[in-house]
Amino acid sequence: MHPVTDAPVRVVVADDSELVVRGLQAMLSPYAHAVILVSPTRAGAPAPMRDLTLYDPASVRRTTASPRSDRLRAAGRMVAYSWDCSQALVTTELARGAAGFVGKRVPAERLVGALMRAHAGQVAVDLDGPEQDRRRARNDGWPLTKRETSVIALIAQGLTNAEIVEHTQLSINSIKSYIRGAYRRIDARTRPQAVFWALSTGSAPTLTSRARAP
Amino acid sequence: MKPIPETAQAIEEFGPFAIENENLLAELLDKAHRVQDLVPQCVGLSVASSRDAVTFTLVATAQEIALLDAIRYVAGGPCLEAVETEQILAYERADRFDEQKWQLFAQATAAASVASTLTLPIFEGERLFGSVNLYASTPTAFNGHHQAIAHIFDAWAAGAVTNADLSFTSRSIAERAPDLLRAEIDLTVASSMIAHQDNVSIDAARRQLDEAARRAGVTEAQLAQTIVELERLEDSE
Repeated sequence: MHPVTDAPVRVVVADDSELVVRGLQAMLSPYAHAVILVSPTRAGAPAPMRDLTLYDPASVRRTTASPRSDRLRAAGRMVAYSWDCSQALVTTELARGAAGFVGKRVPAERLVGALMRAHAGQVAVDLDGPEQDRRRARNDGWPLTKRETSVIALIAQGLTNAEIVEHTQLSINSIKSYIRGAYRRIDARTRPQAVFWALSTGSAPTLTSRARAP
Repeated sequence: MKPIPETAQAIEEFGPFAIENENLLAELLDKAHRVQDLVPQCVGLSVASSRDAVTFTLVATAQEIALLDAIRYVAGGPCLEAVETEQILAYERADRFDEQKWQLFAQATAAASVASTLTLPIFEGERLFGSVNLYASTPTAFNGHHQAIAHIFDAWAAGAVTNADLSFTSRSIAERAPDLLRAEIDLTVASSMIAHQDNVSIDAARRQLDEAARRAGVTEAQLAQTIVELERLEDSE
């Protein structure tokens, strides 16, 4: 059962092949009451109204100078959509601010569910194909909330709490609260332990990009 | 009591810590006030966390110390007596295990107002979690209070040691807390970067870092800081 919304969630697919776009249109057409695929922008035309942008991290890296390009920043809430569901990529994209991560093997109904959760402000992660345990379609596989992931990623880049406050515009108490929550979930007791966990799982974008460079 | 500036900075910049429940500064202040209720002559305390590898120190405010000094002046005391009788308080090396003479010796070099100390170990299960050092302005301030003070800090009263830190060195250690915490983060980040880049273990990466620092004639912490700053510069380009 999907959460009820007043209007369908409008989704744009960014920078992917016609095969993927047409495939998605076919997959999502039975769920048009919940999710609709909006046509991507033609050259020179204004960007379409959208709630979410579905993007493939691999396509983004091929076509943009930086994952944080202005074009993507203008795309609103982003949900990664990829064949590669490795933990390193998932954590990297979530640390970069993705609202969710869905594997391309996930069946249509679960894709729709993930998009609706992302639209509702939750961290939507669904990585497995239909043969896996349906319970893993929820966010159980990823230990941290989106905000906790972001804060831990910033800690892993060596930022102090004051620097994280400046970066996120959150209060110092909120930052510490997210850190405590994250520590509990990843079983870290100290900052170096959290740093090591983040770097080991690829939550620090700089480390990951260096490690993945050709 | 209040935290020394470096303790306040460490808690603000690098918290939360393994040693705290919800709010370390509030918890330390609460414990300090409870100690002062028992031992009004307490002028400072330091809590060392083994897991966090950091020491936090609170000291009496200038007003509190002035009040204690005034009380001591009115009541008399060893220093006042020494001044009045022009007596030199000397320490003889042969007597270094004499506790009273240890106090006199340390007073010549002690931080202001410290006349006795109490050190208690803190255990978590069977593992040493840390320790608390308390400092008082009179020689016998902690007498009869070991158990009660241990209860405040969940420490082990039977492990109490007296007058082990009359020169208040724990404060000097606490003053380095922000630098030490920053250095540890930089070392972890730099070691992890090297480990991933060279496909080696963290321990091997740490040894590489140490070797490189020695060859360059810098400290491990300085090299790690440089590596992390270079990485940040690269990322921002």
